[in-house]
Amino acid sequence: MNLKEELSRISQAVEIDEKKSHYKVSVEDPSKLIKAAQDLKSLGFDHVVSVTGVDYPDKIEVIWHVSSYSVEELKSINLALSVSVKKPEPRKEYDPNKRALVLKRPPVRVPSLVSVWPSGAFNEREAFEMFGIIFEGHPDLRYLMLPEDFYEAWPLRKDFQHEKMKVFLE
Amino acid sequence: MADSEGLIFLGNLEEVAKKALEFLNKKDFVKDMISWGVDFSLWPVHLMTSCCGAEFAAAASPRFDLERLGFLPFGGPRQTNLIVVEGTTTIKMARVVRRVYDQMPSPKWVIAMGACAMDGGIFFNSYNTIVAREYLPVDVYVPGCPPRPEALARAVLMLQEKIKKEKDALIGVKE
Amino acid sequence: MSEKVYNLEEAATLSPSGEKYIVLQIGPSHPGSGHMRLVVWLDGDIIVKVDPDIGFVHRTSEWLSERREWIKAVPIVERIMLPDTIHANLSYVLAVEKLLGIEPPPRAQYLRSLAAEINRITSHLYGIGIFGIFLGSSTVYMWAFGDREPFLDLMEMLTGARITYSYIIPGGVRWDMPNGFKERAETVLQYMERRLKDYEDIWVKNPVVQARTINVGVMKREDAISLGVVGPNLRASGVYYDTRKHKPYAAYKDLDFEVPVMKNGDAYDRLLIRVEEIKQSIRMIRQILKDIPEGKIIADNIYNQLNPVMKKVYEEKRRVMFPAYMIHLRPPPGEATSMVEAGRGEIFFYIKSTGDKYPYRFRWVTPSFRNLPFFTHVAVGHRLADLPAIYGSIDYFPPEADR
Repeated sequence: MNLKEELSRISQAVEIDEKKSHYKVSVEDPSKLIKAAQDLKSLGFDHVVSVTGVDYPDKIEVIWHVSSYSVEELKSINLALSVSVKKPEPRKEYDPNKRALVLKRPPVRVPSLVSVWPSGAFNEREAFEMFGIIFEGHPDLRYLMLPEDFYEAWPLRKDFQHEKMKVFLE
Repeated sequence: MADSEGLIFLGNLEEVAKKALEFLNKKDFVKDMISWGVDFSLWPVHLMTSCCGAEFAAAASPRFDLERLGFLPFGGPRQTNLIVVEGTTTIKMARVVRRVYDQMPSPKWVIAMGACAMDGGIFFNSYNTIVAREYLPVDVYVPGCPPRPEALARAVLMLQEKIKKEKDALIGVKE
Repeated sequence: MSEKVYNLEEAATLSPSGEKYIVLQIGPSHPGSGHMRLVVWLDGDIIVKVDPDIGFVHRTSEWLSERREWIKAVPIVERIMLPDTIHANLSYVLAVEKLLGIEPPPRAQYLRSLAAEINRITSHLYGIGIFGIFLGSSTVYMWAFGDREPFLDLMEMLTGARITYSYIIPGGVRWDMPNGFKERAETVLQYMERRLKDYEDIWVKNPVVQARTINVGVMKREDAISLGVVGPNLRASGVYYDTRKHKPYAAYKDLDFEVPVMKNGDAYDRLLIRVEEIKQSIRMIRQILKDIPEGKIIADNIYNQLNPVMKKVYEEKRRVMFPAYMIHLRPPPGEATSMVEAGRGEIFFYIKSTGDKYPYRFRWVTPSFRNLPFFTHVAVGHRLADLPAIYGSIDYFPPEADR
């Protein structure tokens, strides 16, 4: 199986560096994500290792790292499937509890891949609470680790701040 | 009270028992006996808050064997009198720890184990962690990251010393 | 297993107030829960649904590591996986080395594998001991934790610390093997081999243990693949996959070892496979002690950064003093992933650098987090009394899962 050929059929943007074991497939349009995931699954990538976001100033990149348990040739490969979505502008809103204007950072939306890879369910819940990525179609999208104090805090975004932080850093 | 001193057999049984207790509590040998009994029955509640729990488990295992000091981890908070905060507590966990502490009968003591429980340690400045002294009255701090089991044994010995010194405080604690 | 089979779709639609079912909250202050809460829906004493409520030990390691210098992430990741620190250390360093483009010398590779295998044995003994507590056998807990100590002593001899070693740095390791280590290691290995026979008599072949674990918590092969479980739990379900074989790192390319694979995928197989892996680790440690090549323990371009005093210490004591420039490490822009087979399964790192003082994105997934589907999928349909057997058999360590 020629992996490069197979992957370039799925998407135009394919990065392969075998020496560093770096394999990345980027999908531009979020609506084509599920199709790409199904194609990858039919190639033999059968489980999700990690789902994470990367926060850039203007966009959020969502990355699924997938690998294979069933196909012998693919067991050594760890492939990244990435999609980038534009971040909506943060806006100021009146918060009746704090009696002040607070900065609201609206979440972004991407389709969920739990229907293709059930192994990503907990990972997607974590990415949701940490980055504010709403996975549309996830059967059970709730907060996983953070207590209710962190409602819409999205702590792993770069603009997250908390009170203790002033003591020591930045 | 002055004229009935020594006449402990007056009145009904409830009052008599109360007076007898008061009388005995003032005696030094009773205080000694109670503090001796307490400091070799330090039963920590089985509540792991963080990764120092691995060393806590090692301290209960054969090589270090803290049970010889009367240190026996126990399941229910109602039967215990010591809580060991093992390392970092997150905000979510701190509420649980406080609740368990409130359920324990008095007199009770707290050991804060590890640098994270003292002052945040390596996880200082994180958005989700909180140090032990902000929500519990700590008696003994154990430095180290993680502290060796010997250090925990030392903390138990120190706590025993403390109980012996404060034997007056053991009596008449009402909750 | 009960005769009445509940499907997951039905379980997912139950109301949280539990009108028809009893809702039981196990933990976090419970001897059989560890640092987590299991919300269990029960019909009689048959489990209908389990919802693991984790995050009680979420210590924000990703957030902190993105605000620290590169090398300061090593102690943080170690504290997350306390019974298994060397693997967390190793897998982070492998990712950084990929960014930096450094290749450690062969002796350092062997020392890494040596430390990793000793640590795997301690991790498995830890898991067996906790499993013993969960099944109500204090003896096995005492045995396993007692037998863990000689291996911790070995590591103390090698690295200078009992549990948190920080032994592996980009480019190599910090200490060479001390004098007398080989003899000491051989004594400990022989002791462990003797003890393994005792374990088999009193624990593995114990009829009570067999009755409580055989055909309990069965994870079928197809489910194991689609749910993405890792490590010994995956291999107990009959999937031949080991990161050491399929994505080799350190010295595992040169070592001769077998990957034990079981068939049934029940709790008993998950216990057996840990015993087998201890045997394989013993075999590997013997090989490493025999075949370890002579030479440097740190890569040349790190060695050249040492100042003359440090070089003198290195030549005399075979010890790398921590070079100060490590704190100013700035890997070139790019992204790197690394995978390591830890005691409980596969650790995954994804690191993105922008050439800055701090990592731009620091993502890692620990094995326990990926073993969470055991609660939601495997426990359903069992009796409540089987839940500790399932929990104990997967060797779940909550601080590791919460990160």
